[in-house]
Order: sequence, then structure tokens, then C-alpha cells
Amino acid sequence: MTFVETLQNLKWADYLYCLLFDNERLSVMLEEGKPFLPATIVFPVIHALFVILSGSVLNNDGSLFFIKLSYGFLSLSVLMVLVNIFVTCLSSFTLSGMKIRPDMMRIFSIINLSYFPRLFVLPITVFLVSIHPENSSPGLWSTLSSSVLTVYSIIITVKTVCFLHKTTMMKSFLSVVMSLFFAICALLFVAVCASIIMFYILSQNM
Amino acid sequence: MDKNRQLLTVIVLFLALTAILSIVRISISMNNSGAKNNLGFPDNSPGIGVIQIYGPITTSGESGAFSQSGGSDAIVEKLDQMQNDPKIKAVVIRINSPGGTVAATQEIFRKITEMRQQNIPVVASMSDLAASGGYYVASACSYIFANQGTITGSIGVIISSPNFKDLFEKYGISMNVIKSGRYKDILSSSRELEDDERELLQSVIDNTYRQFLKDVSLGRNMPIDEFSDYADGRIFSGSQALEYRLVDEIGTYSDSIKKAKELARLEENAPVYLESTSPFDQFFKSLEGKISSFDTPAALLNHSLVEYRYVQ
Repeated sequence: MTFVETLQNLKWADYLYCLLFDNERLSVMLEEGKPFLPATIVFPVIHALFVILSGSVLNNDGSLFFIKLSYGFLSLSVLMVLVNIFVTCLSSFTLSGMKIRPDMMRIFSIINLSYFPRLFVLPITVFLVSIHPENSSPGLWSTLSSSVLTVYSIIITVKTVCFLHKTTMMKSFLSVVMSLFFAICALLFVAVCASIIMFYILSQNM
Repeated sequence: MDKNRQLLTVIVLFLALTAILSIVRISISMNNSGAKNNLGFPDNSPGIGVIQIYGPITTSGESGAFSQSGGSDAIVEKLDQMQNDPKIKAVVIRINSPGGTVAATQEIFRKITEMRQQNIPVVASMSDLAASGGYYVASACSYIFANQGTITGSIGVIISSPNFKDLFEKYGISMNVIKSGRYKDILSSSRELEDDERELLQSVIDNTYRQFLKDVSLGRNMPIDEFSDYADGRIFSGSQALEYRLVDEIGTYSDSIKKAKELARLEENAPVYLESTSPFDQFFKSLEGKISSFDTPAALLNHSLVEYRYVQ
């Protein structure tokens, strides 16, 4: 099936509909389909683009926008995909520890798909910046709405992993949230180390 | 399910439309804020080009895994691009160099002279050091700025090679040399320099020194007699260089940008097209600087070139 045919048959819309409103049906669709859906990687990549766009809409970046859109977009996309792989591995490992046989490929697809609700951060930001009522802070509301969407994404992942592995919500929650927690810790550690190295190098070159 | 599919299609189209709208919005706000474009992205307003000549001048220069070569080839290529770029009306050359090899320095000199002949003003801005070959390059420019404490001058030529004869004898090392002519291994590090060889090398040095004087005279529009007395390899501070008319004015990099705009009859807010590209490049360059700043012993031993170079 070609790319255009895949777009035209609108089967992808079923996945997205179930992702937003019917996670049980989504887990069934994932089970019936191929274990790994490469097209799902498009969601973290688009999310990276939308995060950059919403940041630039909020901050009026100027020339920095071009750097964000080139280097920033590439780095953020790669980083998000890598984090997803990391979270998938950790979740699978945790599920194995709970005596549940993990389906790594499908977990990876679910985590990628769960980025879809987070794409709404851009329309929300554009809306907030456009209406801009007095004494309001669009940045704050945008961050809040982004946090709510992230929580919604996590809920979708937890529910779908739960239905897919036919386990309890608590076990699924533990596997996903613990993995996310470790991923965030690892990212923070890398960021702190990179900042120290960069600071050292730049201070030596001044 | 068809209704749901339609709903999701509308949502996806809505998201795509929002992305397009946000890009339009960002573009408009960039135009309104008058963001200056100095990051290598397309801009057509006339402005000043800036080129940096940092470190020793050689033909190929140092190049790393992440950055382009910084040698004279790359500098001449960049100057050539600026010469053919209709939006570049003047060029500022920022120099922080002790000089370098003769041919590399002369290639940059010729290129700058060619640009001046095409009525493109070229302003030199000396940083910490613009000595020997660094000054040679500056002398080609239409106008030279130096800081008061800039080290410049050092007009002269040098060639050197280590002599390990005693060391080799001590450790019983000898070289097997098969050569086609008696001067083929001139400057060999395994033996003393003969008198006739010294004479031969001196003639080469004298000849290249005369080329230096001639080019400085041409670039500065000043007779050789006027500066030949102190063109003996001595260095000058920026203030002394101004006294001897080796530079035109004491000033900073910003002053040189202003002067270039004035010479090119550009407005004060005309854009400055910096050579340096992005923070990533600068970061990787700084990393390479850390790694490549240590000369290996082998590199030091191979150092026997005729150079316009200030040796500290």
C-alpha cells in the first residue's frame, strides 16, 4: 500500500480516534495490526516542531528562530525518539519484573502515538497569544495547558499498556511512570553534565 | 466510524493550519522587530562582510571534524565569495595572527589588493597580534585600525631548523641520505649548515624580504625608504605603529565596522554579515581548539619553512 493510499483509506484516523476516546479498542487494533508501526515516529517529530513553534510564538525569537527550526528541531526530534526507546525498554523491563510478558514493539508504538494530544499545545498557544487579554500571561497558561496535555498523554499510555497486556491499571501505571521518572532523571543528569562541560570549555576559551 | 474519521481529519487539518499560521505570525513579528540577519540566512540588503584571520597563516590551515579549514585557501575563497556577492559593499578583516608561510600570506594579500582595485573598501582591524605576515595582510587593506596595545610590525622573514647532530652522535644515530644535488638536503637536522648553504638560504630570505617591503610599500602607498629603517623584524605597539604610519588609526573592532560603512557609503544600521555561522559551530570549534592546541613533537620537528612570522 502506497503512502497516498494509506492516507486516503483513513485507517490512521481510527487509530487517532481510539487514542483520544477509546483506548481499549486501540489496544485491540494494535494487537491485530503489525507489532511495530514505523509511521508512529512522526508524532514525536511533529511534537518537536510544534514545541519549537509555540516557543517562538511566545517569545518573538528573531533570528534565533532559524537556529531553533534547524538544529533545535533535529536535536529535539532525535532526543524524543531516543527517550521513547529508553522509556519503552524501561517499561518492558519493569513489566518483566512483574511477571508480565512485555510487547516492546507495541509499547513503543503506543508511546509514540500518545504524543498526538500534546500537539494541541500549538493551537492553544497561538490562541492565547492572539487573544492576549490584559494582565494575562500567555506563557504561564501555555505551560499549564502543555502540562495538562502531557498528563493526558501519560494516562493514554498507561491505559493502553494496561489493556494490551491485560493487567491491572496500577501495574501499568507503575511501569510507565517509573520509566518516565528514570528517563527524566537521566535527561537531567546529561543536561547538567553537558552544561558543566560547555561552561568549562567556553570559560577556557574566553 | 466514518463520522469519526471525518472529525479526526478535520482535527489534523486544523493542526496543520495552526502550524502554518504560527510560522506566518513568527515571520511577521521578525520583520516588525527588524531582526538583523547575521546567521548565514538569505538577506539582500547591502552590508559589511567580516572575515577573521586568527592564528598562524598557512595554505591549508587547521581543519577539524566539525569545521572548515581556516587556511589561506579558505580565506581567499571567502573573500572571493564576498567580492562576487552584490550585497557586500565593504569588508572588515579581523586579524589576530603572528603571520605564517610566505605563499599563503601573499595569496591573501593579492586577493585583498584585487578587491581594492574593484573599489571594494577593505578595513583591517588588528586584535592582540598582527605581526609579520599578519601585518603583511593588513598592509593590503584600504584602512588599518589597531588597538593601542596591539603587537604589530615584525617586518621580516625567518627560516629555522633544529640541529640534532650532537644528539645523534651521542646516541649513535646516523642518516642515510641519497640525493640528486648537493643542496637537496639543505636544512637537514642531522648535520651542520655549510657556509655556501647558509649563503643560499640568506639569498632566499633576502629576496622574500624585498617582496615584503615592496608589497607593504604598495599597500600603504608609502616609499620603502620611509619604513625600511625599522623593518628589521622589530615589533611595535599600536601607538608606535601609528607614529611610524604603519597603521591609520587607533580604534576597536566597532570603529573598523563604522569606518567600513563610511567608506562604502552605507547607512549606520546596515547589516554586518559575520563569517561565523552558528553557536553549534562555535561550540564544536572550541572543542577542536582544546584538542588541537597541543603541538606534537613531530609537528615541531617538521617546522622549517620560510615564513613571515613573529617568533616569540
